Amino acid sequence: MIFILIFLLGLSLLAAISRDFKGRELLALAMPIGLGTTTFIMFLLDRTIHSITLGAVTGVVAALVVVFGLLRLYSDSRHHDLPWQRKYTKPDMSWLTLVWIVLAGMTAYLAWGITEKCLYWPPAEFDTILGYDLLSKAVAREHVITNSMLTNPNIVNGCGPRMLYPPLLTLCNAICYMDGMESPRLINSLFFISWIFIMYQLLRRFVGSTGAMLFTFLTVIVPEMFAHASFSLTNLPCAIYTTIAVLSFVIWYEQRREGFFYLSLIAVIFGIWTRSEAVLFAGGILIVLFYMAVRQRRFRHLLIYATSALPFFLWNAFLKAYVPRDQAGPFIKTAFYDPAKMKQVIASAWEIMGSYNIYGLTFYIGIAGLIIVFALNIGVNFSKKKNKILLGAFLLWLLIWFVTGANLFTLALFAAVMLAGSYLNDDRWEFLLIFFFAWGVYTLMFYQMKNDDGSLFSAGGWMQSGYKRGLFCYAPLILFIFITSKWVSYAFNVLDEQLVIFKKPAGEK
Amino acid sequence: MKPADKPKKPAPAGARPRPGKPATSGGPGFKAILFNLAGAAAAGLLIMFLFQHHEPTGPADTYINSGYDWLLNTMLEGNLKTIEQFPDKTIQERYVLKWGPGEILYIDSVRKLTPETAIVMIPPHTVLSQVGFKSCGDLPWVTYFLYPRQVVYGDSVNSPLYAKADYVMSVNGWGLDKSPTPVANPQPFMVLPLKK
Repeated sequence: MIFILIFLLGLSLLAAISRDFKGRELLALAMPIGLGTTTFIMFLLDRTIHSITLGAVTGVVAALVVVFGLLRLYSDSRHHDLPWQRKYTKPDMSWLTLVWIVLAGMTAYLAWGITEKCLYWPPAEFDTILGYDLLSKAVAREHVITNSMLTNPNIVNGCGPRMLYPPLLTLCNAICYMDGMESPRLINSLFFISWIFIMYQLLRRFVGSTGAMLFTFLTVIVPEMFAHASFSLTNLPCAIYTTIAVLSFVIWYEQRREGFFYLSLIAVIFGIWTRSEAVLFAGGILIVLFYMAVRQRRFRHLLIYATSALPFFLWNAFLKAYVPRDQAGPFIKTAFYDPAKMKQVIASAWEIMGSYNIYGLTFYIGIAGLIIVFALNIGVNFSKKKNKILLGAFLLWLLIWFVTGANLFTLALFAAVMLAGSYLNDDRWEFLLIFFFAWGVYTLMFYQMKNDDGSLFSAGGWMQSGYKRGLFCYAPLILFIFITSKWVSYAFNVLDEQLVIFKKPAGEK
Repeated sequence: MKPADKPKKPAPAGARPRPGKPATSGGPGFKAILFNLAGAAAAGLLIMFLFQHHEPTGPADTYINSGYDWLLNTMLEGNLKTIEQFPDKTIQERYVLKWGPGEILYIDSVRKLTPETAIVMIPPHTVLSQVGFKSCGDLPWVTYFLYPRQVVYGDSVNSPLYAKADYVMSVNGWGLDKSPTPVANPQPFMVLPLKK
């Protein structure tokens, strides 16, 4: 019952925010957005009436469903577009091709299999047991976040930073326990299944059904991420929210559909409410918004999006106020330059990204994709002087890279050349900028970490464990940068035109 | 694309279907069916390539499709077989199935033999390591499985819970002396009440 209401909450909230979303987009997005919103409701209940009970949560969620539903009806009536007054056209099946069926069939089989696995096994991951799921059990039983676990120094210090992550997954799991379930694994399945539909639906804004399905399939089968679809950990939900945030932002940036701006804002807030490092995506998006604001002399969107960092400060203030901690942070608080450490961080990063066992071919496809898109961008209009200069810059980068290898300078130069190629040829440079900014700062965060006990590079240490999982946010994005670039999406649209079996209904665009 | 360029149509012009012009003008022609069959075959070949199974000859053996092979042919198939074999196991039995009959069995016994309000004293870390208990040495781990019961180690004499403990988990003789009455038939593992 509560999960149906949560789904309806996400659906009605999105419907109330904007009329820009298609029905199938609303259905795909409803559960993650509903879950995120419910965790904020639970946090507010904790802060106001100090009682997170199933009854209170159900009551508030149900009330909000009604409010948001009425708001949407009001909006529809103002546009003379009430649901019962609409003329419905015949369904468009022109997207359905045999290629789509093969890829969707395999994706569906994998999704079914991993959901079976997820729902069968109870939580057994170290980080879950010694962290957020322990806190979830306590929230569900004691009805407050500041419960006997979070205020117990022995427990908090024994758990390390795991118990102190922002509370989205903790509170989602607590809903399961409050509802009488023995395991919270339903949450992970709801996130993962929604994600498959979300990826496909958002990619469809850029590319035809075959391209969208192929890249949805390639994202689903990223080995480490697929395994995490059955783990009760925060990394995959965070990646889901940040992917929604970035894709929605790019849609808004290009199509100026206001609803996608607010979807991006909500998704990045929920990402930060899951793991603080998602703030890097807000940073990347704010850079693009700052560029726009300066260019257009309009600062409204920049200021609105800047509020996405609030949950980060809110949660840290909450922890400071209520949680007893002895731990010193893992970061070195002063700036320093250690080329050997930087080289080791970059080498470890590539060892993970390039591992066939961990990320499969994802980053190989992504990097090859960046170079192919760059080549197409400059090659198609090579007569232009700017593209000749870009080719020169690329060759220079190649020369430096062969001589000095991968280091901060060569990676930054690569990013700059790719960005310039995209910007000067009117491709999706904003997508590249957000990706490079967030990934670059994320990698530098590990450079800034302490390594006194050797745990930064050891097996199971910060890089091998934390960095590896943190890349979940970046693996889908590097694939999506490739598929959404104008030439690749064009090629897939041409392919789709050849594959059409059912023609579009008359009048459909 | 730059913000000022928004009104302009993004290049290439054919990237999206042109307004008013349907993607196709007729039903599925021979060419479309042929393309679909070829496309489906290509998609099938891609799937076969990605999930082709290789028998590893050594632990460091990797192939270009190692990760994909593992996720379908090892991880997913193995798990689905287990699920099919033991569909009705309880949550506790599933933990035993996953981790083997180790500490989790003992912790489960403590859970069954004590009320939810209990404060359970468990042996000190030294005793736990002597008997090969590793996870029980982690207070959050043991608390996770015993919650809402509270847990205190036998050597945490300064903890406020120490004096309030009402059950003791006796392992290899440790804790038998804490029982208010002499234990008639001592066992290697016992859960004993502490208060009269």
